[in-house]
Amino acid sequence: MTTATLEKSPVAKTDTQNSPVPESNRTASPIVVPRHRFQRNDEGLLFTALLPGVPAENLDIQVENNYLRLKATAKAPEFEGYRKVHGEFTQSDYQAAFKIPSGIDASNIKAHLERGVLSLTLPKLEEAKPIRIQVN
Amino acid sequence: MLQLLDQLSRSWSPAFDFDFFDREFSRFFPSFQHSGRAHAHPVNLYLNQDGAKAVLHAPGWRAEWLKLSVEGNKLHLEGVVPDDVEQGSLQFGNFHRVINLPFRVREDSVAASLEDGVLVISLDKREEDKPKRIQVNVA
Repeated sequence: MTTATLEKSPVAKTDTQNSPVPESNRTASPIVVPRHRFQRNDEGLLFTALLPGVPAENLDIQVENNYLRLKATAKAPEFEGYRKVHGEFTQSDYQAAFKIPSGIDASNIKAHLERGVLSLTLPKLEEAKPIRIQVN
Repeated sequence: MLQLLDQLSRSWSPAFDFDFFDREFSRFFPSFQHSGRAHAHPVNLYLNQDGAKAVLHAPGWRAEWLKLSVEGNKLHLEGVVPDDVEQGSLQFGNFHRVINLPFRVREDSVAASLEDGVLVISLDKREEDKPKRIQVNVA
């Protein structure tokens, strides 16, 4: 299994010009690309993204024109009467989009969200799978 | 000059309460120490008169891999990945964070919940560290 590094990943960084999300759909809260990685194996691709604080109902994944777009809103814990004295993260919405590589069966992409980690399995098309040719 | 140094070192009593100093200092400046990958597990801290809430991002972590302990005004947060889980992967890597709180924690008050990869810890102040209002009687 090969692992793509974060830098080489095809996910668009916060590129507002080429963002697949129309201007009108953007919200005021900060939007970040989640920490993620791609892994390739014989079956296809595995995309993993860290979405802490995101319950399944707050996650929206769409495939359109060969692009996969995901949007997620984290449920921010609210503490009434408390003041924040130290912050290492800001509660943000997550957004990512990437072009589905050719040879992927886009209609069979499976998503699984567990404990704040999203796993997307992008299986190869049958005809794109390697075929071993028997030598007689 | 040497004499002065000597005097100073003599006035440095070993009975000096370092804990007290630490506590008093952190009363105004909660401090954070960590080992492991920096900010892989960011923490936010919230305070009120009676205690604190700490929020830690730990996506993918199981509750049994996280260890919490308090020691005076220190909150230790430790994450240990079992051997059969890939270390140093996207979400996993052992870590140990120490948060110096501006008060001493009532040990039996510590409660934590882990939901969707977010750990929320609540901690109460010890009674003696809570601010006290003194009634002024007017004669």
